[in-house]
Amino acid sequence: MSPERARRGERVGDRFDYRRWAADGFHLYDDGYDDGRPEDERDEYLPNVVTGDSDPVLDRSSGDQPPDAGERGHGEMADGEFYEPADHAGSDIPNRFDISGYRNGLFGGPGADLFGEPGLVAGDRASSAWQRPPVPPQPPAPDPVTETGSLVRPYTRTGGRTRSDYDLAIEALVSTGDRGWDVEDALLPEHRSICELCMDTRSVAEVAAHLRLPLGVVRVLIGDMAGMGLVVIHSSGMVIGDRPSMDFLERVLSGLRRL
Amino acid sequence: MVFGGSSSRGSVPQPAPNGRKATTSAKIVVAGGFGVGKTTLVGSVSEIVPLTTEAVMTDASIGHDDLSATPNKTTTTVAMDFGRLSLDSDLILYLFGTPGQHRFWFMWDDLVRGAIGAVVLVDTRRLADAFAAIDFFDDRRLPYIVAINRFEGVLHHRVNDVREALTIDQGVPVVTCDARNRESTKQSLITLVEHAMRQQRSTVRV
Repeated sequence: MSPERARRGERVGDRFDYRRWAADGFHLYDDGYDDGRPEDERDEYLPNVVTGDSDPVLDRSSGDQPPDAGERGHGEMADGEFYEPADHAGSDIPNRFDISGYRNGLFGGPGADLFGEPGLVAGDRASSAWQRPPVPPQPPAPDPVTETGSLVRPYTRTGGRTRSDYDLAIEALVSTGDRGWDVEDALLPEHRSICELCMDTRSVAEVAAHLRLPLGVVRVLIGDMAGMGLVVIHSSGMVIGDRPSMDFLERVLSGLRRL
Repeated sequence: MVFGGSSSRGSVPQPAPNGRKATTSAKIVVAGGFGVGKTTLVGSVSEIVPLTTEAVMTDASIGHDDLSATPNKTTTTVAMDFGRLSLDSDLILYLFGTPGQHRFWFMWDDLVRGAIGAVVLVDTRRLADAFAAIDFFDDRRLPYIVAINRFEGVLHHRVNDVREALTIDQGVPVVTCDARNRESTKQSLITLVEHAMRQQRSTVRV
């Protein structure tokens, strides 16, 4: 425990005025209690909060929680117990009696979680609200990696590109091109896999399913490979605008009837 | 060239692809509510065990999808099942089951582009599940038929009641089918293609 800290702790015990504290909205080291030290000097105590040193709860209560929660927490506990420091010193931390230990007893009780989650304080260091009005804690940002269900972000393999030069339909057929038969020409393992898969003509969707890669990723990969001559994309043909041509429908119909 | 059989019969050894006749593919969409039997229908005619492919919804698709309920969510993975059917040596038909959840519209755009049409599979106990798909296909002017899946051979409503309940156009065929049965599925697909041809002829005339 630094002497600085002990000194600071004593101030709480010696000059504490509950009414004044309450009137100020239960802020710690508010203007009335400012010891005049520059702000960055005070900030040196924040790392202790993160590492869970002796009095995390007190430091944490610097305004990251809704005002009503702080008020209730401080009020309930401080009200009855504040004037009985000896009790805490004796029972809670017998061998390490100091003011900080006392504060621990005061604020580290069952209501301690009212003062916020440890993680929120750690992340909030830059905007530490020593001097600002209390703000409700922000919900933690969702982790985008877990949302994809994969350890690797899907578009890593395409260098982050999500669009291909080719406008590939999911049913567009792909077969291995002239260069693709010599698999050594393919540098990326994905390119090699696609070359091997497409020795039988397959659709983009099939390639994606077999490789267990998202469709969009496979589209970009196949687009690249077509540019390199590793695969050939069969023209969809027989489509007028967005819809298949009459001749094409006739072929499909007779094919279905033959089944 | 002799080896035009580019496609499908997977076991046929493939010679060098030079000069190989291009194979074309067609696509039919199978839509319907969750658990209505889409994958069963696809599997009943597919020559492969239905495969599952995934798409990741990215920022690019946010305009199409309603993310208002989950504003912090940036990616979603959608799976869809599909099967394949070789109709000729150089013609492959793919059947794509739509992702069950209606909020994945961004996939549907991809699905209907260039499609012959759609089979909307309905379970008469849960007709409302088909509303979203029917609205979508009406909006995109994609030819579709409604196929009532007879669960356990039982038809819970008369066909005309279903048509009325779904408020679909008189021109839209409503058929009954057994999604497990290959022949039945084949008939549904034929009905769809015929309907698509009829619809195309009428639009050409107009």
